Amino acid sequence: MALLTADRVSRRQAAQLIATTIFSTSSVLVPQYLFFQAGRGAPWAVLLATVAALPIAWMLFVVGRHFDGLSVPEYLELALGRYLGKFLALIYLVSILWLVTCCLFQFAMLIQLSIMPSTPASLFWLTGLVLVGYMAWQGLEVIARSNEIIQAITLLAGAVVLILSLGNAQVFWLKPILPPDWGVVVNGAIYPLTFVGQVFLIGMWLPYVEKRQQALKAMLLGTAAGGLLLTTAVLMVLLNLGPMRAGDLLNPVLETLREIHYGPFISGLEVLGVPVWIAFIVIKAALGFFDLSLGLAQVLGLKNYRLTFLFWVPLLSLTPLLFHTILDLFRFLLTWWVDVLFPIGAFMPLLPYLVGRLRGIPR
Amino acid sequence: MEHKPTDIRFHGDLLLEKARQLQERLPLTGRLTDDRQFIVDSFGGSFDLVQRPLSIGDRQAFLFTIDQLTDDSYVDQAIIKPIISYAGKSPPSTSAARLCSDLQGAILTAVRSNRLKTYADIFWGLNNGSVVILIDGLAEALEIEAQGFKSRGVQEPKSDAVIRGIHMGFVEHLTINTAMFRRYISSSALKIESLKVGRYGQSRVAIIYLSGVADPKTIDELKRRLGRIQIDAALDVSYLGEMIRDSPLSPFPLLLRTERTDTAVSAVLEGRFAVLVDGSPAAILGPAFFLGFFLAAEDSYLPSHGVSAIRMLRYTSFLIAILLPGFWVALASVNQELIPGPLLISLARARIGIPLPIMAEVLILELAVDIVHEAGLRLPGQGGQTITVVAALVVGSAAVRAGLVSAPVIIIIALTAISTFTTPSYEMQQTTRLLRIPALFLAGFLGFFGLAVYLTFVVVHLVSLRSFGVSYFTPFAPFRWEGFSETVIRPPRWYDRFRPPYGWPNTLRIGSGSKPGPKSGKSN
Repeated sequence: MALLTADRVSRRQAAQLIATTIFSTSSVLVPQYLFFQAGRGAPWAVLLATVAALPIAWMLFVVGRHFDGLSVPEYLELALGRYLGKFLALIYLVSILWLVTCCLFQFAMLIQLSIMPSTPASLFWLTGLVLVGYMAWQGLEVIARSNEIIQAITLLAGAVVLILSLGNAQVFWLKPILPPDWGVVVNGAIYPLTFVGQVFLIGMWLPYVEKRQQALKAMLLGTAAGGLLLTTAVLMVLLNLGPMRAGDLLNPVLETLREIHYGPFISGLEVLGVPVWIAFIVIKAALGFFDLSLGLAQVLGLKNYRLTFLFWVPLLSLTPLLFHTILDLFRFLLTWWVDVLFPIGAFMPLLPYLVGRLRGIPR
Repeated sequence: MEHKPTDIRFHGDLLLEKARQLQERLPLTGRLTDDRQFIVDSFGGSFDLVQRPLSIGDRQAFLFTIDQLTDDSYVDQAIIKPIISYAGKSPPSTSAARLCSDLQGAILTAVRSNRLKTYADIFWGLNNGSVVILIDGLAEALEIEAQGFKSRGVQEPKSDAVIRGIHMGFVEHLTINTAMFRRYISSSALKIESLKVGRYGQSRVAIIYLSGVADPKTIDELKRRLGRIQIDAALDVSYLGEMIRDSPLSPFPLLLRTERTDTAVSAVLEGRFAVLVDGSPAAILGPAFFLGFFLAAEDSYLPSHGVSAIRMLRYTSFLIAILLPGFWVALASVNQELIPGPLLISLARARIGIPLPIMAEVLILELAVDIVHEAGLRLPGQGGQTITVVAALVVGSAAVRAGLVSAPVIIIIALTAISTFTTPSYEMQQTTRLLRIPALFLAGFLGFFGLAVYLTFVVVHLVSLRSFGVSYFTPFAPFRWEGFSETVIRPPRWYDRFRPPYGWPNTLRIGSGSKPGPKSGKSN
């Protein structure tokens, strides 16, 4: 099947997109539950999750290489037949749909909680949807380029924040360096794995990566970079707030930024952090939106993926009805996302691969 | 449907005009009276069409020219006198074709002459300052180039003057402009291709590029885009710019327009193309990229350290020009919690008695500044300066004293206006003025969130743009480290060894070992 867009991204851009996909939402949604579960072992748990996500990236590369030039819905159909393939592709798209929904909700919630508490979240939700839709409409190349700029700004701002946070850091929170109970760490690594493992989104756009046959290094690097960024954020929280406080707070990273004070000038750094998160989340949501549009176009056999916006935009504008508070989001993540949707997204590509190997497809 | 008599007449005229245009493309008949009559009729009795009967050998001929388009003394010396002195010297019964060849090769002292086959070619030649001679019995006309249209001298463009550097700008004469390129680039690699654009104007357009340096695909694409233009006339190069640019609805300029010779030559040396139009004292340069609009001609003539700092200042000014009014509105009317206490009190004091909301205050002053700017441009020299001073001093201070606007807003708007004009490109200045209005409204309604959303939209739009295949927002996205030396900073010339890495084949422009200093290994 011919590619639906002429967009191309370099391997470096692909790695950067993967890192953004992993770090953007996880830095807000992971630390609190992670500290609650793993305590002082939280940084180890994230590292473990990162290591565990690398085989997922490798698996996606192997499957992508086997079905060269095809996206997940396309090779599902090729290996499993027209009807079963399309059906499973739709289920696969549902997992991405939830990912986009969570991003948009998080986008709206972050802004409401941190900047404009009296404005209805649905206004931010709709604004976010317009922004995300516009980016997805422009295509993968534009998303990748926007990410380059936003990531550069983020890394710069992140480095400044990290250095400033060292002033309040308490090194004793790190001791003992090795966690006493590895069982807790392993158990704690499952939840962050479902975020670091979101490298699976590349299954949709791997065919658009230049020299994709050599993209493994980029995929592994992107996954590792995303995981390491998350580890750094978790370490920063641990050093500044300690595991107990971090486990009690809804957004420990934001709280860490709030606590940075250097005289009357350097304070209230959450103002710096929130726009960076927002930009990151927008990139991830746009990438997810692009995947959704591309996927549905492939399932329906459309030549222009933008036609599916007519379906996705109204659907996504209705989804504020699904979550009312941030607790609804957490409840969803800890149940449906961890148990059902993440495994579907991450491991479904394996099914056509196995069938394809057995049946010798593609010949 | 009922037609009014005037409509019918109009449509009749239109048909006649179409028929005439078709007839113009026909070859000449070779019968002097018929061909002459057609030319005279086509000009519709225009008083500036000059006709002169001649005898060349034993054949009748007619000379045509347009008054003031040719150099009269040149016509007299190089064309008419030689023909008159040739009278009676030709052998009898010489064929018209032979006579014409003799004129071209042996009789006339004029440098350039061509043979024309159709009436359309004759009209184009006459309108471009050539002398045309019809010879009885010859189905061709002899065109002798004798342009004498008055042109102003080469001088520095008023809009883009420099303190140091080359003080030369383009003029309205195409051949003078192309000669300026030849003067700086003497290599045969400099290609100047020509084509005609315009149904009525038939303007001569020159495409200038450096063969082996410019990307051939870009040049082919340029020719394709120029070739499809259907326009009455291209009075200025901007007409073409609008019709060949990418993303025609984008507010950002996607081709650089310059009146400076050195800027155009430098662009050609970098591997870009320049397009010139006869009658226009400017060139359009492409492919263009966003940061290129912030580079001034003077940057090349000043020490690199200072220029790099000034460039940073220009980029900062651009951000101020777009965001400052919106930032102020967001801070003072939506996100007041972000203002430190002492500043908040001082601002509250400044606003005592001001009846307007902050956004209205900013909008009114913004409008006033734009009106003053426009008025300043339209009024002649001294008047423009006077009105600017009057507006700034009298109206501004009076408005503050009358309690209509607060002093901080005056400061904000003044700083914004001044920042706008640090951008060297006039086109980008206009874009800046346009861009800050939506920022202002979004900041007024949604505060910093609105501003952030707007900025993201602008960045996404910028990264989606291309100019002749080159990403507009390079070197930021896609990120190219090498590109930084072209735009963000200006390194010393000996260090800047490569042309911008935007896809053209030959990138080396300064050989290794160009770094100044004594030879290594030897002491003075």
